[in-house]
Amino acid sequence: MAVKRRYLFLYLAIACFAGLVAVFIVDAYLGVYDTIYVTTGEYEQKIEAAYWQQPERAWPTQYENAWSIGATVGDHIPFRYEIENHQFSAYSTTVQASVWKENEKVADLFSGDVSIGRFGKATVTWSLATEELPGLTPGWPAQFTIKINLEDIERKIILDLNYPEAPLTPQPPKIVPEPELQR
Amino acid sequence: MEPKIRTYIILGIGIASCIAGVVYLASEYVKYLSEPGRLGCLLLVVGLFAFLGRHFEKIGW
Repeated sequence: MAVKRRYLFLYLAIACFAGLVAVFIVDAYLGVYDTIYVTTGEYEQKIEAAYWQQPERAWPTQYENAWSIGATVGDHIPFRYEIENHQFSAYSTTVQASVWKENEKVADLFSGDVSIGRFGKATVTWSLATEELPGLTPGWPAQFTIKINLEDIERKIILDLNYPEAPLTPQPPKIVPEPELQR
Repeated sequence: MEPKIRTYIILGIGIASCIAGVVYLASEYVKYLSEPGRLGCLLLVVGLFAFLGRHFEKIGW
């Protein structure tokens, strides 16, 4: 009994450590996690599920419930959507991606059923042709919202569209007379 | 080298590796913790250090 009492606090410390591990496993690992990869220009951006849990801690801070991307009209923006199922059972869902403007759907990007085995992963891809979006006024910037729905999950990406700048006309080189050499 | 010292060195390396592994995993997954989860972890860490301190105090360290 004395031995047990001697190690009582050590056992309690070990219990706390086991509790910590359990919290991490249950709260931070088990579940369904999605990651969006979007490429604009030559930059691939990775939007992890953690961003939507703590959006105020991520960049850009001004968009608390949405991620922001910029593109030029004429760009084709590829999306890659990865869903990881960290559960002991299979997970089936419908993935929908669409473009919205002023709370009205203007285009469908992707719609399909996905079935993932336990502790498995699935990837769906689609592409957005920006010049095909309706309501664009040539020369004027526009904003759209890309919504990705996964059962009870909704991800929003704000798309800032700009028109490409006019190409610069090359100027003829100026000929500057050389100063006369003084003798 | 005395066998006892060698044992302590190996034990020390093992403990350091375990701590490094746990810290690495925690840093990978801490961003996925919810707010109640974070609070729970904070309380458990406080409890862990408090009980460890009490244990070492009791055994005369």
